[in-house]
Amino acid sequence: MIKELRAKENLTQIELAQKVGVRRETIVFLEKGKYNPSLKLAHDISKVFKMRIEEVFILE
Amino acid sequence: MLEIVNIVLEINNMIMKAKNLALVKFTVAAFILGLMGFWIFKTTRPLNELAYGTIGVMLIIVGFVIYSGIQALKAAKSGLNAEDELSKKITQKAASMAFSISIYMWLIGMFALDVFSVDSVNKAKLVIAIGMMGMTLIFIFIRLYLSKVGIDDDND
Repeated sequence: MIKELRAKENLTQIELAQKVGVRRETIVFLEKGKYNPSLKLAHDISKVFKMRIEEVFILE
Repeated sequence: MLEIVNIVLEINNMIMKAKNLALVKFTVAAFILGLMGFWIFKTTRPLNELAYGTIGVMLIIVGFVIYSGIQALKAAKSGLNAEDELSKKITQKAASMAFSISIYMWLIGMFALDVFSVDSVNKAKLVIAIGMMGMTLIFIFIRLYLSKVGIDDDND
């Protein structure tokens, strides 16, 4: 989901990482679904895409 | 406008933190190397297998510290955070796993030294040295492994 949204917004992984204050690896793991972000990080990422948390992150 | 200034200030703050972190890591690496050099220079006895093993382990530790310093510098260069929530979680998980594994390692170490005939003072020294270096090595390997594969914290 994050990968598609990032592509839609023309953002690189580094740019998204800079915007939310994390390392690029964290974005990589998030995109691969290998890491569950904290509520704060999920909120910050949703804010970048101007969406609600539940629209960006789906609990599986 | 105010938001942009805020973001720029925040990125600047992150870069400073990353640079400071890199500086601390390089200082630690230099300190370890200095101590090791002093020890090798000061010792009067010829170096045995154990000494070479210790030097090898210390070099691995120094290599890891330098590697993390370079990573922090790279992060600073790209305007990224050197330590974020994932890296902190990885460090915590690696530390807890290294501790759990090391309990068995200490037991095996003590048992192995009981089998060989070593005098008690040297035995204590050996157990402590092997235990500490083993714990550090286990931590480094788990830390590097988790950095590559990530942490699946669904069941945590």
